[in-house]
Amino acid sequence: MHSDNLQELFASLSNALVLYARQWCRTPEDAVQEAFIDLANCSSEPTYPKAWLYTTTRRKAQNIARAESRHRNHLEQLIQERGADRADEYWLEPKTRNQIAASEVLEGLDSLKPDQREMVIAKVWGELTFEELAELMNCSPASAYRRYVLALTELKQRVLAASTPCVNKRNSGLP
Amino acid sequence: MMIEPKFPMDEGLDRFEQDLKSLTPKRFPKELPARDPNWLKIALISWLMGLAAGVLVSAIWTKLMNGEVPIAAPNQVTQKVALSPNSPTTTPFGSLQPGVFGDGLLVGSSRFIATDLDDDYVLQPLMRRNTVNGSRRFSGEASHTSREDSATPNANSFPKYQGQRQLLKMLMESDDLISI
Repeated sequence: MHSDNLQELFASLSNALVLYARQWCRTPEDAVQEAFIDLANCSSEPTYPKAWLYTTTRRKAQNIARAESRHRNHLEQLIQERGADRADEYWLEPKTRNQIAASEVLEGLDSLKPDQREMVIAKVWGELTFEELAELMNCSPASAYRRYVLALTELKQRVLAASTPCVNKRNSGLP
Repeated sequence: MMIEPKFPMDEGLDRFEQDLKSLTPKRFPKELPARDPNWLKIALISWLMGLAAGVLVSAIWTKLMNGEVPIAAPNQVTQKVALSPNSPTTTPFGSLQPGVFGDGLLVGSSRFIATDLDDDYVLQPLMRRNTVNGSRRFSGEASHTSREDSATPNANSFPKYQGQRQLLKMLMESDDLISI
């Protein structure tokens, strides 16, 4: 793949890929980095480079997760220490335009089924088309669309359910 | 640019999706590693290998020119071959042109001849003749035969460097050969 194309893909996708890879491992940056290195070494350009990157990042992240599980105790301690800042770790803004907290979105994502979470992250922040999403999830575009709509609906319900007390609290004028 | 088929989305869900998109993921903390083009690596390795080969060849060439590599061929010639007059390998050492191998080489080769008299094809015939002449001299014919030899060289004698040969002969014919 040409270096310029690679840089362009890296600039546009790496952030979303980190978010995507964190589903499986605690060092998602490494998974993304490795996926880009693999793409750079590809002899022929993939048909859907974005979908290819997502697939490869998933595989890399899963491999890293396997290695991480060998020293799980240490990681669990780290997670506990850093748990409070998890949302800040991945997003710049603390809230969405409609004042949904980033941490609630993250919690909502974590509560989804793995394949649903994968699809939402890849579609929303990775901006994959349904064609590319189908490639990533190994299904037809129509099926990818249906599954995505279902996943997004579930996420919306969970996030809104979690953020409602806050909204109610704000509306009631309590500190 | 890929044209995606139109997939209808519920308005509320679409708004929620746009809302989620307003959460910009953080910038990736690492830079994409710079990749050296393959041709650059190949050129670099080739250049280094060429340099190493050049150094090796020049070192071997210098060694050869300094004459440090012993030329053992003359000393390995068998007696039989050495005695045949027209054989190219029996060319007497003294008849070599100094310019061909250089003086250093001649000096080095002479040292081999001097230290290995048993295999030396220059001195062997002379020594053999000396033995014969010695026995003749003891029988009273020595001086005559010696003069005859030096005047009319036979097939085994060497046309060039007669002075040196003469001196060698004299030394060989001397009574006190061991002291030499």
